[in-house]
Amino acid sequence: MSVTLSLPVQVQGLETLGSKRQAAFKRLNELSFPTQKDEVWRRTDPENLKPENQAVVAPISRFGMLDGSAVPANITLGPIEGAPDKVFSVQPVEKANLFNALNGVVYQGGTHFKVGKDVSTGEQAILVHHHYDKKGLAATRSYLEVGKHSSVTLVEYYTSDDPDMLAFPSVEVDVHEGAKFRYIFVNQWNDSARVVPTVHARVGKDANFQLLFAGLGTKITKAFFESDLVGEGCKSEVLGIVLGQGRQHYDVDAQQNHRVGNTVSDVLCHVALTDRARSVFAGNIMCEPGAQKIDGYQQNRNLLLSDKARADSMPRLEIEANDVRCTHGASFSTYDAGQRFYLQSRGLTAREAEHILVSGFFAAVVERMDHEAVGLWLSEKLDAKMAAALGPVK
Amino acid sequence: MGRYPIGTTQDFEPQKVRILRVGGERIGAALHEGKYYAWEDRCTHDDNALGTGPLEGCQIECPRHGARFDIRTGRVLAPPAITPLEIYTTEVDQDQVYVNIPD
Repeated sequence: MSVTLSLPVQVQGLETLGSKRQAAFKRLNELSFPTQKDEVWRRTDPENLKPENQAVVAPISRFGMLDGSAVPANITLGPIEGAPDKVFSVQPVEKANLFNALNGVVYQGGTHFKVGKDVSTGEQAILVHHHYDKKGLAATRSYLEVGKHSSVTLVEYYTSDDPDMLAFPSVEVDVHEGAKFRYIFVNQWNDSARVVPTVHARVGKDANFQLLFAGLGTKITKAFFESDLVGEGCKSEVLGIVLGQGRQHYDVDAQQNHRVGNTVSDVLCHVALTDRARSVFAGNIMCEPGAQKIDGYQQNRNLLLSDKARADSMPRLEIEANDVRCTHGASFSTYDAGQRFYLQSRGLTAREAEHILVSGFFAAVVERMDHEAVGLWLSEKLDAKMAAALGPVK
Repeated sequence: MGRYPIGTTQDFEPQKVRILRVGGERIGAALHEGKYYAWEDRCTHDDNALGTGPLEGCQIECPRHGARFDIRTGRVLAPPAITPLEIYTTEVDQDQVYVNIPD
């Protein structure tokens, strides 16, 4: 199958796609390409994310456990090609996300992850690594379904070689009753790549969904994270760590939709920027009419490590119920001079002190995940990125 | 640092803003009092495109909230912006105008 894209939406090779993808194409045609006049795109220029006659290419994907052991029984893990029809659905996400719709039409590669009832990965985690060694467009589609009362952890790790790569991976998550799902999305594409990831989760009764987004590479990232809390007693937690350098641009859009009452959402995004990097955080907690007893919180903390770096934070609340507790906060700071002085007074160089302070800033988020094996794996990636952004520690 | 061509000297008319996309950035460029100036085409107040606003002398005004900047230095001349505009250096080589965009 060979598909070439250019926009305004023209998909060459559509006739070779199946009828289900053509249905997704109909949905795509209802949407228009965004402009900076759209509130969601005001701070990220969508013109920089236009496909230009590039062909969609497939990744090289590896599936397995983080420690190399065997995948537990009752877990289906493999390429998306074996997944049920559900992957063809293009969820009408709150922000009418054209890139998600486009993905539904042209996706190649991705993960089909299905967990049965009462399954646990315990202290271990599943690792899926999608790597692109070819030039073109990347459009993986992952469908992750966690059965009742299971407790699993999955890391999806994205890398690429092509500096001109444009990627719009989409992930659909379904967490069933009483299940706990930790999902780690590691965005470490080529430092010049442009990426628009979408993660849409549906969280059932008494379920617990935890998403950790690690933004460690790309020139431009515009990420959409949306959770629909549809079962009473459920919780959705969105955690983010972003380290930007050079002229990297990260725009994170976190939407928490409380469809029913007695639900909890918590968003925590820590961003550190150096050089001329910039970030945008736009979070929204939405409580539907009659959805009472909701506890929603969102926090965005920014560490500006150069005077040219810039961070914008726009947490929002959209409350249509009268018995809820929804709050938000944002902070902006640079290194704490007192902490840095203290570390240097104990014999550390200025750079070592900076590394420790930035590591600590991110550790507060990673520790929230409460998973040692993934925490260690992630800190290796973070250390390498910090060496590139802040300079190596001798 | 990337050096990008942004047109020939004939492409520029005095006091007329040109909006260009170079090196993944949207920039504004203009010929003012015989010199070529270039800047990041984004208001530092709320990211609106500056290019559609008027250029009066060396001052460009954001059409959204009226912030004004000096295109020679990036200095803020009127609120609500408080952060200076990013100015890129330009060069003329024979007839070609170039802009230098830092990495």
